[in-house]
This record gives sequence, structure tokens and C-alpha cells, in this order.
Amino acid sequence: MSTRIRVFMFFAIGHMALVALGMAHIGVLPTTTIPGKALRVYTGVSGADKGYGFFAPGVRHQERAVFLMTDAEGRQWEGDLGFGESAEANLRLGSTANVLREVDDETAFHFMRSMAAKMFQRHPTAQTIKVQVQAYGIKLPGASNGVPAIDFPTMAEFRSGKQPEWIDLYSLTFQADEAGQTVAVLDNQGMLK
Amino acid sequence: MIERETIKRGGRRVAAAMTEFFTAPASAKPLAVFRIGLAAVLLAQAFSLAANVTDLFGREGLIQWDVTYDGTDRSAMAWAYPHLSWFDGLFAALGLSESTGVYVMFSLYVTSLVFLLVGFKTRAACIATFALQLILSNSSPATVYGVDSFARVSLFYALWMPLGAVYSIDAILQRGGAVNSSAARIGLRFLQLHMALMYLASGIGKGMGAQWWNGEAIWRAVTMPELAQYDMLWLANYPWLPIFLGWATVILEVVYIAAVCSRRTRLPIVLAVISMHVGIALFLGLVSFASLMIVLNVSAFLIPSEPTGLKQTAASFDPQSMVAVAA
Repeated sequence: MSTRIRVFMFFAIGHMALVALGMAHIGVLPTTTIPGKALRVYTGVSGADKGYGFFAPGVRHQERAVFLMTDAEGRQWEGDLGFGESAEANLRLGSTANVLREVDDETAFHFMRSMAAKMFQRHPTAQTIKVQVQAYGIKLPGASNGVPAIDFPTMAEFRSGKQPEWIDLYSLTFQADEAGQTVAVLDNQGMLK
Repeated sequence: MIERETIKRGGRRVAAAMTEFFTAPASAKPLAVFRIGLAAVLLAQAFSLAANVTDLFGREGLIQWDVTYDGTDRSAMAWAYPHLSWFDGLFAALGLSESTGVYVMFSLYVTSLVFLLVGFKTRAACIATFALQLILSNSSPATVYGVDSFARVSLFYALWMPLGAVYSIDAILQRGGAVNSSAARIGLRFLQLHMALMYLASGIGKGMGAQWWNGEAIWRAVTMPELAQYDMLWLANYPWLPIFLGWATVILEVVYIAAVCSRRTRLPIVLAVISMHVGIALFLGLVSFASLMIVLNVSAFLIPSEPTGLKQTAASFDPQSMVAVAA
């Protein structure tokens, strides 16, 4: 085996070890250290940090964002994120709402502000936009900070008559500023989670 | 003493077997299929996103740059993740508006994919495609999903593989490298290992949840509005079917790593997994994801890798391996 191949193999095996650790969700070094940061960047850039937990351990209920636009005359109309020109684009645009439950409250707020800003671009006559986050499922007993607990009905529950529906979780209402670029909060219902 | 000698001999045998396994020359055809399939899937995906480029990747897109760059969990290390906002100065210097700049970057991504597809300047095309995919997905982290993870991983491996040796313009121009090489074998082996480990991790992850054993995972996935392609609510009346599909998915993914190791079981398991991905495309609408997974399975396990012909170059060939081929 040539030296070139030996060196290549050494790095390839090291990479595969990182892939296996990434799949097992095991961090090698703390990211507070320089080697740890370097490794984090390497695994992030190379994709070695992926967990491959597609629909694992289970499939979570779906969430979506819907928008209620109001113009200066008080007229209201609704919109959603299905403005992509293809199924692939709509899958990506629509799934952004699912990210909201994965991030902290502050980031979720910025995501919703950003969505509202996009909708102001698409609906220039709107004065205010309410971003309503909804979940598809049935209400469960209990709530957290006023946000209802939701889950998708099991097959047995569905057979017994429980139908999934879109249920309001929380919302923020935004108003365009003078420049029409950024938005400010007017109303906060259930946010932050 | 005898025992030590036996151990040494055994160690040498294992080392020789490992060397053979990882470096015995292989045909570059599987990797060429990998290159063509990967580029074709990513090109089709790019065309399907072309009309919404600024919505997805632009500064004023659905999730704006200030959020994607500063508002994610990577913000502390944002310097390490290339982002479209890094090119603000360049766009301005070229007199381009931000949205035009984003279109230019996206067009460069598409161009590099076309070069990769036809195998023209393959190595440079690989590097450009990898870098641009990284930049675009980092600029739109809330809209990425499984297909982007696999695109990232595939393009990273592609950087190190001899992808242009056959079925390419580079090969026609006789600058694609050896048709058979140790580098092709190493590339193929690590692609195979990654695939096997990935399915194992995915299968174990699913198996740890009750939903895959009681059929609820399948029921939820095919009836979720975001993914549902047909009205599948009737499945609730036939729970044995989602239970069977759930069990089959977990078992298929867990045994994949063992089954692909044997010539006898390789074809059935890969065909079964391809069928699963066809099902994902048909019933969940994840066409890009399913297509990429089919490309990876076919190129990693179904394209013969036995060396073909004798057109080999010394520069990319290990002399010991050449002896092995001659023998």
C-alpha cells in the first residue's frame, strides 16, 4: 500500500468513526475547546454530524403558520406559506413552521417576525398581519402556558370518532413600520410558548 | 512463543484482508453512476426551486438572513459556516443587487451541477457544487430536510472520489484518471459503509419508539397534511397494514448492514429498500429524497465494481494492487 493510500485511509477511517459517533449522538470533544470547535465545524461541513433519525422514534404532529392580513379599511383575508411554484418549494416553505417548536422562544419570535415581513412583501396593502401557529390533531387534557397540548389521534381514537383538525396554538400580530421593511409586535397571544 | 507467532500471523492475515477489502482496484463505474445520479437529482431539485430562489435563500426570504445567520444555535460559531451574507461586499463591488447576487450564486450552483453531470472538469465541479450547496443550505436552514443532509454527505464524499474516470467528458478527453483504481475502491467502500451505518442508526432510532411497532408511525406519516398525497384515513380500519409496514421498515433498516455484506442477500435487500423509497416518493411526496436514496443504493451496491479492461494509470494505482489484479 502506498503512503498516499495509507494517509488517505487513516483520514477516511477517522471520518467514518466521527460519522458513527454522530449517528449515536455522541459528542467527541466539548465545543468550548478549540479542538472541539474545529471538530464541530468539520462534522457540520462534512455532514458527519447527522443523526439520521428520520421519523424516529416516532412521527410528531404537524404544525403550520397561517396569516390573517388586515388593510387600512379593516378588510381581512387569509394566507399561508403555500406560495411556492412547485411541490418541492411548498414542502420547504411550509415546513418552516415545524421548526418553531425546535427552537427557543426568542428564535421562534424572530422566525415569526421574518414570516410576517415576507407576507407584508406579498400583501403590500396589509396594515397588520397576525401570524397564527396551529397544530393538526386533537386536544389532549392539560395545557402549558395557555398553549393547548395536541397530538395526532391514534387509529383507535380515529375509529371511535376523533377527527384531527387544525387547532390554534399561539399567535403574534405585527405591524409594518414606516420603511415597510421590519415589523413590530402589536399583540401577543400565547407567545412566548 | 508459538502463540505469539500465531497471533502475529493472524494479525497479518487480517491486515491483508482489510487492505484487500479497502484498496483492491475497483471499476470507477459505480462512482460514475453515483456522480450522474446525484447531479441529476440535485439538478431536478434546483429547477423545481428556481421560481422561489429569493423566497428560500434571499435576504428578505421567508426566514431572513439576520435570523438564519444570527438567530440559530450556530450563532456562536457563525464565522465557520459560509452564508450568502458573506458575499454582500462582492455583490456590491460587482454592482449587483442582493437578489441578483442570490440568483447568480444559484445559477453557479446549477452550472456546477451540469458540469458534474456530464463529467467536465469533474474535480473542480465537485468542489464548486459542494461549496455552493453548503452556502445555500446554511442560508436557509429552516427549509432544509433529509435530502439536503444526504446531498451534503454525498458531495463531501464526491470531493475525494475519482468520479470522472468513466461516462464523462473528462474520460473522452482522456484526463479522467484510471478506469480501475484503489481510489475507486476506497471511495465505494466508504460510501457503502456510510449507507449501512445510516440505515442501522435510522432503524435503531425507529425501533426505540412504540409508534413503529404499533403502526401509528405509518398511519401518522401518510395522513399528515404536509406529506399526504392521497386520502389514507381508511387505513385506520385496517391497522394490520400499517403495523406490518412499520415492522418491515424497522427490520429492513436494521438488517441492511448485514444483508448487503452477503452476495446472496445483497440484491433482495437493496431492492426491498428501493421499494421502500419508491413508497416514500409515492405516498409522502418526498420525491427528491427518495430519488437520491435510490441513486445511493444503486451506485453503492448494484453496479458491478469488478475491474474492467486494463486501462490503468500508475499515478493513481497502487503497485501491490496491480499485482493482485494480474494474479
